[in-house]
Amino acid sequence: MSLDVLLIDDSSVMRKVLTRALRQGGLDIGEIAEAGDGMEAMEVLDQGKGIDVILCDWNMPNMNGLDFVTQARAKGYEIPIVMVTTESGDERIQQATEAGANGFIHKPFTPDRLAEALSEHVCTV
Amino acid sequence: MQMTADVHLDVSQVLEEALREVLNMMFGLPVEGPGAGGADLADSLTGSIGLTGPEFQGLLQIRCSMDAARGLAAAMLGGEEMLGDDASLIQDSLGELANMLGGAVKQRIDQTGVRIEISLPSVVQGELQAQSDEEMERTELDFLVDGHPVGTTLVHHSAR
Repeated sequence: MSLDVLLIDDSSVMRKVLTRALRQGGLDIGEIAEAGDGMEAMEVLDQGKGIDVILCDWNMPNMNGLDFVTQARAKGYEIPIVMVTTESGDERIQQATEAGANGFIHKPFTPDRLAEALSEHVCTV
Repeated sequence: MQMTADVHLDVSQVLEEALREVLNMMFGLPVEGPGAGGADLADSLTGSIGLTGPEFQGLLQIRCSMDAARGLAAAMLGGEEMLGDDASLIQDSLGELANMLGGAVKQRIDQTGVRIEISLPSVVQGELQAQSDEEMERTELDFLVDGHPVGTTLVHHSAR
């Protein structure tokens, strides 16, 4: 089964880097949708696009990653969300986990690490 | 300013490890060095990011020539063809490199128990001299990345 992915990051460069890493990671990646912040991402979800997993930055304008996770869960979306961020403290990980995030990938990362995290969370949720 | 913890960091080692993690491990670029700072980088771009917390304040910079920045951006995005004529992609890529370098440094500082936040990255054309005074420690390391000179600077003050 190919994975349809939603990338949420305010940096277009980072979205390109993530797209490339996803394609290099050895997983069967299908469609990759992009959003520049949490608000745009919520619109993508509300349109009913079939998304299998979400990769979400933390620090973004308009709606940050933590608020996006909180709102997505409040709306009942159960899609696995993996935070991809420079945030690395235990407190931040706990915050994201309590809000409903399923995983955490620290930037910088390798394509293998990205694929590993996706496999883990897509298979277990 | 409250200073409640010692920060014992080998800043040169942290900077080198962070640069290698981002450029070599993540993007597969060969990294040689470091050498002493002070490389003459004409026609340069500088990416900067702040590292701030109650016990540690710093400014991290990565600088390189425009040609080198183009090469780095191409490596990050998957080839020269991904850049097209969009010069802003080169600047944005260097900003993202500064961001990830900051993240890699932050992760190492976090491991000492010291909490810091990183700022949004900024990129300027030319060399932006990070100001320092006698209370601040300045670490400059130069590398050859895929054959191009790349300079890094971390100016910081920590509680001791």
